[in-house]
Amino acid sequence: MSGALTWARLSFRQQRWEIVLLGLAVVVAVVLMAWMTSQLRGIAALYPACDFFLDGDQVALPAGCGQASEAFFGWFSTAEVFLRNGWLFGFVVGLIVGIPLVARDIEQGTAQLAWTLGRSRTRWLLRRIGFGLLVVVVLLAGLAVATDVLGAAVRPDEDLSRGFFFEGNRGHIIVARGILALGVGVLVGAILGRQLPALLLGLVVVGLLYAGVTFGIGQLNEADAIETWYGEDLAAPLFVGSGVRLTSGERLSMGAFYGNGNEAYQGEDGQLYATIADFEDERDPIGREYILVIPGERYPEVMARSSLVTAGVGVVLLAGAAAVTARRRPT
Amino acid sequence: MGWGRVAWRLQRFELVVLIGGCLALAAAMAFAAWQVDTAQADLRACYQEAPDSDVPGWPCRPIDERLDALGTAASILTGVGIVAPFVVGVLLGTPLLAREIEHRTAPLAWSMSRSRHRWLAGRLLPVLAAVVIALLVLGAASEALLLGMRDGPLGYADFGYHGPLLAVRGVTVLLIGVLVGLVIGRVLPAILVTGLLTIALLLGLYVVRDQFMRAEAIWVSVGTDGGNFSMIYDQAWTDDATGALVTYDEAMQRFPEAFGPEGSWDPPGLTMVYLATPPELYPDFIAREGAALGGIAVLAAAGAAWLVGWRRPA
Repeated sequence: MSGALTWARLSFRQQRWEIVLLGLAVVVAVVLMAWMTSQLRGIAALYPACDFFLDGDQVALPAGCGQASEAFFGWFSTAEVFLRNGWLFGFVVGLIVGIPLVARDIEQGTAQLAWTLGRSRTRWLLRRIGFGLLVVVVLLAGLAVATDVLGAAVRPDEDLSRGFFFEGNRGHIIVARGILALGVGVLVGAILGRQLPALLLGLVVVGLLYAGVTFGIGQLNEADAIETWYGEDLAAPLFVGSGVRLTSGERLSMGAFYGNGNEAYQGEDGQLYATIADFEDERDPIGREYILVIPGERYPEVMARSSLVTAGVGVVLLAGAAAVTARRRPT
Repeated sequence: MGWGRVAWRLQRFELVVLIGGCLALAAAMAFAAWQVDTAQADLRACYQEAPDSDVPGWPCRPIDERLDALGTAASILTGVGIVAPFVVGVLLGTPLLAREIEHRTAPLAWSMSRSRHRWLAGRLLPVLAAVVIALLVLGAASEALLLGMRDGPLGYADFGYHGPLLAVRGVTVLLIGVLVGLVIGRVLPAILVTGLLTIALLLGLYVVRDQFMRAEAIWVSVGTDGGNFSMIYDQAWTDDATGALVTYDEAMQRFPEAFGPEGSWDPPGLTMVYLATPPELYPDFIAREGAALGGIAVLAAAGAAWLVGWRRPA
């Protein structure tokens, strides 16, 4: 135990600036989000009769709701900036913690001594990664909780545990992204052996990898999605895709159907007709447009899967970094 | 030339990636602007032959879709363009001095040069020149692309996306990075601090600019170019008979039948007006932000020049 604490103290001393600065940034972000949450909840509590998300053009709102709505949406816009951009923080934390784990020692010439003094380079790296992982998880866990709470305050009319509001911008997926970025940072740092080039390359690699992981997760979601149309009560579903199902049963993407020069007249229920006469008489449809969605009640399991996949890729990259470090020259 | 060679050798990877990236982005924007011009000319010519776009198999549809795709590409390119000055400034400015201190080469470098200030100028000026040229080119290309996508002059929706303001932002962030790097003396922490300071600076400038825009907004009738090019802050009505301003709540109380699901939303005897910042003030706001950033850049440069003379090299 004392060995682990010594190792943790040593690792902290080597990255103290980064950990303190990132910690401060997380604390400031969490405090700001908590303040916004209190403001939004305060307005909602003062005007319980006002449903801010009802369309005032369709339904006459109680008196005073106009001003309350203005105040609410003033805070809503600011909160949305945090929610829509906070997901980047996971990548920043992961990269900043991960890059110097190996790259700094190589760049400053201390890797040679550190690797010869230790029993094995892999043990040395595993301890450094363990500490880095702990820092990333602790910092981002606070942010994950704050974004969930803020998201709930921004939509007081909904249960966010059963809806895909701000999907990908709140909750444990932020921690998973941090682990992915940590893996990228350690691997790229171990390969390049210089911090700043590793940061530049790491930003590009994280972007590409995230796009790839998102695409992969999208394919998994599409396999799980149900075919439906607008108007069904699916409680804030995740929109996965759309297309046209022909009367023969064949499914075509929108691009494949309309890209061939097909023109069609669409009814409110999504039915497609070849001519205006068929459309007006609602006869002989040629197909129906559909949307692919995952119902909101599946939010916990879908997001858990996304987080596992994202974090899993990060762990694979960390294993790759260990393999690179074991064979790399220390200069 | 010696200074330029040294600066190149010490930061060649970052210069190639960042300056090269800016120039490549500018080239992509210029290409997109040219394609937009061509597509718009083709569409205008096609409209002469086939003005009815509702007919099946409208011959101009492929050109229309090409223009849509170019619009998407333009959004992505200009979106990257607005971030570029900050990325370039942070990643080129911060390690300029921080790396020397962190790697303990500063004591040797400072002792070998005639003065630390000359050494700082020798390191900073070549990088500054490269950044200014690259971002001026980027700003011009972005302006050409945005003008190609718009029907008229650029306005508040385009603020910060085009023109020399990109270069001013990049230089300011670079000089802040140099100062922070000199203070902290370690590359990654300095990058973090510079990044956070840059975000705080942008937020502060946004808040101040917004306050000025609100203060200088005037009530204009809807339809008087109140669209993309003016910053709209509020909406109300004016009484046609007295000219008095009528708020939304007052209008609702006076004419409840005009609002709600069955209403016309056009109360009789009232004219809708917007509280909007006039579009002709747009260049003024760009100039003000440029001046503010310029002042901050000068302060940062002066701070770095003063501190480099005093700082311990390790």
